[in-house]
Amino acid sequence: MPLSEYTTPASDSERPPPALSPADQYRQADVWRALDTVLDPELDEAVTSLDFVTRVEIDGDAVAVDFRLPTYWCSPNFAWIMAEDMRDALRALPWARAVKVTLADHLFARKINAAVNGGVGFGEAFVDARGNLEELRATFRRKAYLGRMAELIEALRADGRTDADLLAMTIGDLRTIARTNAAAADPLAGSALQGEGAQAGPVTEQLRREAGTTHIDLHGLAARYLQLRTLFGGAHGDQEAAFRTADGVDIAPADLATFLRGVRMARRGVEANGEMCRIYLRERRMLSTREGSDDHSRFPSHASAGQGPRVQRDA
Amino acid sequence: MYQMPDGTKLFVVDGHTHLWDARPENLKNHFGQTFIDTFFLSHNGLTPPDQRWSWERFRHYGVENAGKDLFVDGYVDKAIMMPTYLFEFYNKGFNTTEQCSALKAAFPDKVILAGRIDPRDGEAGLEQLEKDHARWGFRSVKMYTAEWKGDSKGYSLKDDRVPFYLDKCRSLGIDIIHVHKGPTIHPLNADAFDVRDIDEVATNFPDLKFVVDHCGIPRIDDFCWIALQEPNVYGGLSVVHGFIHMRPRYYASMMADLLFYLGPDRLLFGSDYGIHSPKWMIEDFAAFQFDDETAREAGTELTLDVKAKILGLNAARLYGLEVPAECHQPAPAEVRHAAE
Repeated sequence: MPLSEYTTPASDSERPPPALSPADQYRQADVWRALDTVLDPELDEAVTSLDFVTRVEIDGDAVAVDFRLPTYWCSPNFAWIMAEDMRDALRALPWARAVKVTLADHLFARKINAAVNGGVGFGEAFVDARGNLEELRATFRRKAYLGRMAELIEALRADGRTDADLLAMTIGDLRTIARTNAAAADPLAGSALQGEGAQAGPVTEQLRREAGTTHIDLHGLAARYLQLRTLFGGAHGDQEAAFRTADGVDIAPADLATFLRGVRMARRGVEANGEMCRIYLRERRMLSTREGSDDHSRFPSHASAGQGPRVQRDA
Repeated sequence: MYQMPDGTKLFVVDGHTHLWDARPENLKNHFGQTFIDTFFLSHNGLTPPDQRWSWERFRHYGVENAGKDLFVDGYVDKAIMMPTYLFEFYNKGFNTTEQCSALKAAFPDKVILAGRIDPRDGEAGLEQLEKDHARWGFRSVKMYTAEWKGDSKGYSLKDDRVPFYLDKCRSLGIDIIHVHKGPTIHPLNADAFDVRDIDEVATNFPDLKFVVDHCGIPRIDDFCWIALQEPNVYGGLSVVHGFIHMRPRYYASMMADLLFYLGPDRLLFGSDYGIHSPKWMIEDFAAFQFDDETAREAGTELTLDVKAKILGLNAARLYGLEVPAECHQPAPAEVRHAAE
């Protein structure tokens, strides 16, 4: 691929928020709710809680959203998935006629933006990519299912349930738990793929724990798990077992510890990557703040970077 | 060499170090800039605040600083240098064996150079390896599967040219293959950092040892499953260790998995210098203890023996390095026990 196909980052110009009419304020809230449902597929956490979304602009029935990932080098396949999911979530808003999603500061920004907004598929845009995105989505959705299960089981144990209790639980029991909280929508009522990210992600929960808050959101965790339980673990009527392997195999009490060890391990790597994303994002912000101040020696301005031939800049 | 508070001395091998040049005159294009930018984010995000470097120092620290950071302040007895060529981004390369050899020239007894192979170099690459080996004498080579080369944005160990390279290594007496498998940056959906390709080469080349640098993060689970099956697979702890100071709980949970699945004999300390310096990592590690729950998960406490193995004894065994008699070694019975 020639260099001209890659994108150099634009500077982070912070625009002052335009004054919003009441109608636009409602629409703005709609947009954020829609974006709350879009997940980083690898981290299983909402793009909004990860602070990826940098701008939402409403102009009548047109909506424009900008987002930014922690590094210029973040995996383009995941960037693509998020851009596409944001676009689809926004297009689903009943009032939205024109939707534009813009990824900034990424090596494939121009390509991804043009393709996602123009409706070109990943395979067409990245002809040298192997495999396909649906496989990748499926892989990470499966990890997310197991991760959510482990998190819920930990919370239920902390709430006093024994392993035997857990394995005797049904989906109906979990729905009751999820419903106990009036604020938690019934996840099984809608499509399983809509509204997946409405609750805090696992890392957020972890951070809350590290911050010393003991509150465990059982309702939210149950709702999050149930959303994916419709896709994995076999039949999902009220009487079915709450916890099964992704392939729908029942877990014997003697096997639970081993099973959970594997699940926790899968989660650990994801959490580590989430940590890294967050650290990069925070440092990138702190450094670019400093960059804007007097201390130019601290970090190179992207605008002045590089002595060699410059690659084409995004319009 | 690190001295514990009670006087016990630990042999230290830093299994993952660099000597890079990201000065403006060496940047070939914007990617060279953003590549080093990302490293700097990691440096700033994970290094203790009072030990962070200036940007100037970070992009080119040079032989003198490296010698001080590693061997004077950093307790390192032997530093293994991992080349990262990146000629697509840097005019003279980012961190080539040639560049690293400047540190070797300054500290010949302390520095171990690794070679570099890339199956996409074809026939010429095999000849280059021979020449490099004749010049520097390698025990190990590094494979950076996500490196760009022309239109290619990375390669897999399943590439059918890889066996030719491994055969060549074998014939030259190079029996340690380091493979970079780290955090998700840039590869396309095929994901050049996918760790599962280790499985096949590890099975097909049972006499070679494969060190998976960065333990496949974030695919640490895939890595553990593979390492469990393949006795000739080792975990290089650089990046994992990076978390020890700023995010000790994550660090502990990752170490628990690695110790449970690989045991204490197949994990190698690495600082990833200059992203991080060994000084604070080793000090933190020497003092680190698991809580009860983590120790249960890990199947072991972080005992003196475990620490000694990870910090240096495992690498010493792998690389055939002599451990000074004054340094702590597990009692022979324990060695036998650990091997069972």
